[in-house]
Amino acid sequence: MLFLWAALPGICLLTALVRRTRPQNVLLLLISLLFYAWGDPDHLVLLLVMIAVNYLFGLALERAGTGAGSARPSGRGGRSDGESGKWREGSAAHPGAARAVLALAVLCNLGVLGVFKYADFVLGAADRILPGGFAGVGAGRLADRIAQGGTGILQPLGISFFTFQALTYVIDLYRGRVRAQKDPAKLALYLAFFPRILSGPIEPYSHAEAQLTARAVTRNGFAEGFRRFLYGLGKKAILSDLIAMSVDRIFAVPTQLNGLSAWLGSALYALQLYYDFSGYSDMAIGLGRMLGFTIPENFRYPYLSGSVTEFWRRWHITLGAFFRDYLYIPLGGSRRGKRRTICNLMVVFALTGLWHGAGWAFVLWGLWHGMFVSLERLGFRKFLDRHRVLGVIYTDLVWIVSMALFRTGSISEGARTLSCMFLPFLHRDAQPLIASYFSLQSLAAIVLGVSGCGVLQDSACQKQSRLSALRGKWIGSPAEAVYLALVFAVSVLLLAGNTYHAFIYARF
Amino acid sequence: MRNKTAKLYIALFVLLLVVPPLLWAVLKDPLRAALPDAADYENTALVQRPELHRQTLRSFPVDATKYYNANLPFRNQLLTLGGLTDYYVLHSTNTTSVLVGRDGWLFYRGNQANEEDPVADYKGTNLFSDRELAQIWMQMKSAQNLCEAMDRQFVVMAVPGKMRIYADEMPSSYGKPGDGRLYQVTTFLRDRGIPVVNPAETIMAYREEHPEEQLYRKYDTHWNRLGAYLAAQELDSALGHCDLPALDTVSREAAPQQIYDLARLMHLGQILIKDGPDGEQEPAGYADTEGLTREVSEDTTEYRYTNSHAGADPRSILLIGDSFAPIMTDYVASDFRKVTMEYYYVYTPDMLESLDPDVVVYEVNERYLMNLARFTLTDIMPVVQN
Repeated sequence: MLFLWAALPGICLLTALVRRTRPQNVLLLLISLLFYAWGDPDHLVLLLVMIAVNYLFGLALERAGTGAGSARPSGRGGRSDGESGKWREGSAAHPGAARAVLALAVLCNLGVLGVFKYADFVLGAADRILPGGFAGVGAGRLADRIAQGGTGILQPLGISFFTFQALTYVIDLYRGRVRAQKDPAKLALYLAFFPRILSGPIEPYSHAEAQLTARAVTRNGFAEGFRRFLYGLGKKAILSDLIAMSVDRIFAVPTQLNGLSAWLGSALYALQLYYDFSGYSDMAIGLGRMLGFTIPENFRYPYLSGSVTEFWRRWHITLGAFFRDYLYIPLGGSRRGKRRTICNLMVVFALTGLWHGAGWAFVLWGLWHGMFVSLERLGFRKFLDRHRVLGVIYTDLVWIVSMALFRTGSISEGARTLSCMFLPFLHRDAQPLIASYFSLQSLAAIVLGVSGCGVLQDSACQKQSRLSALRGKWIGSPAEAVYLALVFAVSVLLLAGNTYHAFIYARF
Repeated sequence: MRNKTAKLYIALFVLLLVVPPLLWAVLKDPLRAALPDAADYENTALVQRPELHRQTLRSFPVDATKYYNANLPFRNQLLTLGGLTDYYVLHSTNTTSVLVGRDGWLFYRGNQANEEDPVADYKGTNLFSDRELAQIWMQMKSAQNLCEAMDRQFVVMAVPGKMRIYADEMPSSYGKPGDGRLYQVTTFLRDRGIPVVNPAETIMAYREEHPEEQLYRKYDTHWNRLGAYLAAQELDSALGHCDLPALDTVSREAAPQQIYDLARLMHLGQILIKDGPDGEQEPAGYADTEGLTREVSEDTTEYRYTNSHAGADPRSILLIGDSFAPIMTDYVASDFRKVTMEYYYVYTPDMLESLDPDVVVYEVNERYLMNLARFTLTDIMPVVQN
């Protein structure tokens, strides 16, 4: 509520007063840094250091001559090279030096991510692998710290998002797709822009570059952005948070979980996660639009996907695009035979899992998806293409099953939920009262959530359908505005009543 | 988007995001006076306005957010509107710990953080394991042995939850109550020689005979004074001295109005104030209360009664209990010379020496029966509830 009723009107007023792009960049940067410090004051310095380091890497890369001379004029989109499957390497004056700077930049960004996000995970794994653990090799203090719960290093908010954005900057610069950013405020704003720093979308620098130099806050853009923001707010505050109440009740007492409640809980968590994350993305995109930016889309009704491969093109689109453009294709993509393709896919999905959380449960979660994508690549996709409805059911089931691991981030707890789902006869002692998981409000949110996660919108997008005509009349109509005002009112009522759950993806 | 619609959205932005906080900032006091239910019944004034200086830099954002939320423009009105919509329109609530039953009855559905699960207690799906029963037995037997060594009597009192007594007011989807922990532990301890007072049957029998009378509060977790009176009768009878007349033979008088805990949880503490057709009632003229004095500690965790009435039982009672105990003790006290009620979380072993009671009663509510496995007279008990 502090953001809605104090920060947002203030930000809009200030940006309306400071209309020239350059001073507005500085203003938005200051706001973004304040926003970040508000959520995570301990790591503001780290963010500033990362901005400074990447700025210097950018200058060093340009000095090494990487593709600077042949870089296309910066523009939006900018992934045509990726679409063709071939990267145009930069025409570096000193290719060795450029490669070294790039390696250093990537190492530095991934190193920071590794230390702040994965230190405990890596050390814990090493402790288990080493004979006798760290104690066995004379590192008793380290072994003690691991035994006591880890290094105590706290994960900075949004680190996975701003680090990946920084990587797109240095890699694209090396590839000659963009020029080095000379204005530190612009680069800082790109990395720290407040609508997307906590949970994305992950915007490649090539997409953002032009907007940092020239953009306009227009009446229509502001109105469209606010409209999108209200949809996102409703998704989060009404649907996701109300569904979360049922999910929390279902999983509150693990010993009371049986087959039915485990399936129900995982399915509802899938719904909660979708509305939580896509709600956040809508708000980020909407806020960006209100301030003159175009932030890339992150969702396209993923639960309508006919295959797991398609799912990952519709869910967290910008993360999928990042892994495709900066990992899968450089690894050789699908160009080096089936075996290598499968291997590449498994690497990409293992890392996708690891990106979500530092734990084996997330790696398994990623590999689970990688396995199905690989199966589809080996021919299963043809069957799914012929049986679309079956494909949707199969895809959603694969996703729902994976939620057992994703929700807790723990293999043992996930295994317990999976055991309830697949071996329900082992959990007959548990007799949960299903009715007690729901209130009328959460039931209504579930019904609205299920009907709103794509089927209606998809048929409304079909040309010449009756819904399509309705959709045309609805979007931008005064009736829609009144509806969104009601959505806002209900959201405020719920937020004031403390039903708010923190954004799930902010912890990644 | 057409220009007209764009203008409409900009107007909405101003109306929804700018006007409310601005209006509140400028006209806070007149608005508070004009709008209903602006009372600060949630102690939001306790949230201090944070000061920004070097030492508070790290904590400032969290403190400032808390302060803003506590002083949110139109906060009480929003909460009350939400509660009214939930209660009167939807007959359901998204307040995690409250359940709206039939005819507007409210039930406490528990706070999972406190190991409590009244719904599972009601359905009987969380029966104690053999290991838990053994732990309960060990703690109760230790308490009984300690009391007997000092020539004292030890009694357990298990208070039935509201869902069990008013099962007919529960939503039909919750089905009928199972026997649950209440009967499991009652039978288990009684079979092993620990006296247990369980007034569930008495209260339900009275309800059946007098359906017009309310024994638990409609908008609160607890029994009312009539229910407490029946429980006191049961306890006093178990202790071998009950002069309290049958409840249907004593008159009633109006008791002070309360703010009910479940109504408060739904932000309707100032709205749902009439509990029962005649409001809050209490038994009157049930005993000669001349000579009965009551002292309550400042923090209302200790109640001390002395009764100089000639007919009073000369034994002294120490009742260690929870929030169900205070109003029941009012009636227990009319039968005994000296009664002390201590909340279980303020009880200390030295009280046993200083008060030197003849009888020690440990009262526990159905949803906290797990406390039996932790209860001890020789140490301070770990706090799990309230």
